[in-house]
Amino acid sequence: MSTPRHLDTWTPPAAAARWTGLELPRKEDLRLLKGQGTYADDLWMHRMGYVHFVRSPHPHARILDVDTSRAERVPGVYATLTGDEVRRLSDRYTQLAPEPGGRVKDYCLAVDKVRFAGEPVAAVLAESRELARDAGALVEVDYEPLPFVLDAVDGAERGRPQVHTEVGSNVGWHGVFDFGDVDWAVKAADHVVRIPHLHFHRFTSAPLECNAALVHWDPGTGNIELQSNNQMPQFAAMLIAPALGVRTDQLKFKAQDIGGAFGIKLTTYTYLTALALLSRKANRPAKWTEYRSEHLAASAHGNERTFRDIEVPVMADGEILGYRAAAYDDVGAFMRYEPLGAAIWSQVMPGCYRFKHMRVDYRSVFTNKCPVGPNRGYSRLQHLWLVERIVDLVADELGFDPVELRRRNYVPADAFPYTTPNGCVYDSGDYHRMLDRALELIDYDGARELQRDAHGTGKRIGIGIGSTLDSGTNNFGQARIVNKHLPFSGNGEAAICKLDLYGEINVALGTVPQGQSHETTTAQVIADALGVTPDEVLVQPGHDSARNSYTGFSGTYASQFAVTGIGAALGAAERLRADIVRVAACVLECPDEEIVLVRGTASVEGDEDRALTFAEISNLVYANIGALPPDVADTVTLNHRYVYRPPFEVPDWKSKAGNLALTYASQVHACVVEVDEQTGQVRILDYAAVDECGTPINPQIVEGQVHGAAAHGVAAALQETLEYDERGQLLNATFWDYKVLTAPDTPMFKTDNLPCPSPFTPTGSKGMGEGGGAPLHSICGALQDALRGTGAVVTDTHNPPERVWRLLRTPPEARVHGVESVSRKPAP
Amino acid sequence: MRLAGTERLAVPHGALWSVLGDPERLAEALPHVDDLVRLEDGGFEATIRPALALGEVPFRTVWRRDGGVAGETLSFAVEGRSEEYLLELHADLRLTGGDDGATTLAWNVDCGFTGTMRAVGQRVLPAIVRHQVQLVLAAATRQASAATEGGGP
Repeated sequence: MSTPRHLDTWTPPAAAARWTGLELPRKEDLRLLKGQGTYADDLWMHRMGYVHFVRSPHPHARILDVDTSRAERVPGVYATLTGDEVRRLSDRYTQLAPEPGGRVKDYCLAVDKVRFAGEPVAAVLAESRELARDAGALVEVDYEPLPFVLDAVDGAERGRPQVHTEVGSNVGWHGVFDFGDVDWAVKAADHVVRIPHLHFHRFTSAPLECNAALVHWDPGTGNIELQSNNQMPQFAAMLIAPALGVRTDQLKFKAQDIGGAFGIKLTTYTYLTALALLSRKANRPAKWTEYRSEHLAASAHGNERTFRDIEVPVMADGEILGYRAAAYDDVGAFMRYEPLGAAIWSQVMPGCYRFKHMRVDYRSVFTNKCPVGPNRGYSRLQHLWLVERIVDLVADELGFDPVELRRRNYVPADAFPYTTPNGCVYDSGDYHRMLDRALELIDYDGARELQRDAHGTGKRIGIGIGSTLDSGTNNFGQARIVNKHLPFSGNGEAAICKLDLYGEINVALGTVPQGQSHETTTAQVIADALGVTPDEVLVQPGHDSARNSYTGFSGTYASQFAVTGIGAALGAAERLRADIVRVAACVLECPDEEIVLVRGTASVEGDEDRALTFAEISNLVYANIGALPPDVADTVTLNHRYVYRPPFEVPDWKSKAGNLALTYASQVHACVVEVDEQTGQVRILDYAAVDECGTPINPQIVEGQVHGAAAHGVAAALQETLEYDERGQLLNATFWDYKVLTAPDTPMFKTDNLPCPSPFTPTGSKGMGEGGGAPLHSICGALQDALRGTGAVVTDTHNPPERVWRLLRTPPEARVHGVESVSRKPAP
Repeated sequence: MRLAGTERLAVPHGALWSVLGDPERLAEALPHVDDLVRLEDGGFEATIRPALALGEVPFRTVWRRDGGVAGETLSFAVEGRSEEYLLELHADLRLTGGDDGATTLAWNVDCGFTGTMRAVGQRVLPAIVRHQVQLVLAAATRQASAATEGGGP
């Protein structure tokens, strides 16, 4: 491996914090709580039609014929679109994957074949949503069913039905991540724990608002207006523009309020393309609002991952030297955002631990299931779950206390910034202190006593810990780890900050908020930078590519807004401040250094009578420019764009080493569960979530994000799963059967925040909010603890009562988990 | 999805058999059925529109007799499609006449869906299928009673 590169610490001028760090009410709530938000389905355009997609009932089939004639004869139907037309009118999307996965031909509608149940085959544009749906039922599609594959491990074998015959197998990407010397570690260790199989299940973050868009291809200008809730428009633009053969600046993206996205709304470019083609064909705007069943069956699922042949070398004193494993990532029928996930997990390769020797043999495997997309904690939480399961199973197998084993192996607080074996730099943290606090919050000793008291009552008590990371602000150079030819590296976000005509402070962000309170937190930071109150800062809601500035990486994803979005806004505000100071110093006849910004004025320090209001400064620059000397008038704009650029280098694609993320927020969760031996029902008795995300800009908003991420994790652990039957049919495509977590299902979270400011970011803040799936780890750990003595092993992330019941009922001799250890020294 | 039931219907065995064996007569009395066309091989095509929570979902179905013993058992193999949904259904009916003039009808349905309907089936479809069966039997009973009282076929 290459020598890890260290970052130089970058510290811009700190803002005088007055508003930053306060729990201010959210600006957004003024409109959202009054029902005055504007979501994609609220949009309307003159002459618009409504779109319905006709979808495949088969997981894999050849399309023999698509007949839209009956649908087209229905009065009120404006146009139809089929795969054959799509092939003629557009190009296939660029694939991020190299060979062989890069050979995949992916269009906005199925062409020649369908590859998962729910894949769009045709589309109908009609005068009403209902009419489009009725007409869709008249579209005749003849299929020839083909054999299909539903399991990634099975699908990776030779001779299985191929999802894409042009790939030559179902393995779209394969790579080995090898750091340290794991073969040596396995030979040298006192114990080697072997875990044959672990499975991370499919689920989604189920945003309240499904996908929706209103697209208009203007025949006069050639511009395509795309109003939607897509969460990363520039990524969409880079795929849509070549597919449609238009310039990227013809694509005008717009979004105001988005009802949650969590990454799942990142890959909706296929639908946007289809709407654009329909709009052009019918010469009218095309609107589509996804049904919940469509969303669950066919938008995007979180990555399902199976780990095989895990081996963990452990020393007698509990030091875990590392691990090796094979990972099979089920990406569904198309790569789309993949195989970026094949590299992103390696941001957190050792988790919170000082593991030195690691090898993961990683495969991205096609199956005839819904394609995956980034899903809150994308790709990292799957891997972090593996790491936490390793720690708990090592403890269980060798008789260590899971708490002490963590303390023994955590990265210590004095080791930060800590460089991992694969070259990632963890910026700051104190995992030991967080663990202590989490255990304090659940009264760990009391919980152990409760566990003892429950013995023989038919209830089992378990205590579990999830210690995890939320790596934020990606280095897109990691794309080269999966495809060395991808011309991506670093990261960047843009913002505009200006004074308007009467001195109003106006900020436009490159990001696309989906509920993360960008208007509030940005206003707090900018208020400090410019000496005003947050109420005086107007942060433009939503995103408008014609108004806002952006980079290719703009968007809201990967826990980065607090660093990149705020960094960009703060940088623009600093430049605006310099303009204000320059004008004021000129007019007030003093050196720049003597100007202070207080309460919306620029005044001479110590002489507040000598002051200009921001309105006066705006007047001088915008309407009274002749009053300024030319050297000032020619250089001052009061309108600044700034691109925040984190200090990244290009990772080494060959060794797969490099600094892949800028910040590492951390979470330690602890929970106490009760398991009913008769029913397998799991009840959470106590739950603590201790978070660390650097300097919180608005602690209340941080806590809200902690609650959301924790709720999503609890839901996935106990209720939410996307299950396919043996015929490739999704079993739970409605909220009747996909059991989302509701308030009564949610435990009372005890939270705390222990800030360790990041040395690498403008405000000391770290991106957060995705969470690292800590509830999955802590609940699995608690179940394992509750099942202690039965020989049962928790091998799946999802543990509904039926699975727990089976774990309790399966006799020891019939267990197939196969966890075992080879010891050269006696276990403790 | 396999469902079964036994019903006691207050109509004579022969009258009930003649209705169940004649899809056109049956369809006249059935809710949610239209466009019935008899096929040359003895089967028939019909569009059925079961009312689901998603609204009425029209299925174009083809029904074919699949064995059976005259006067005793009726079997149907059914294929249906509706936009992104496919339906496969096999139905067996066994009729036994009683001394009191009533008929005992035992039914078995093996029903498979694809698409969202498959997901809905987890909780809702058994109730919907049972409801449809009840509608069919109620309609058949009405037809059979009318024929018996009116001396018709």
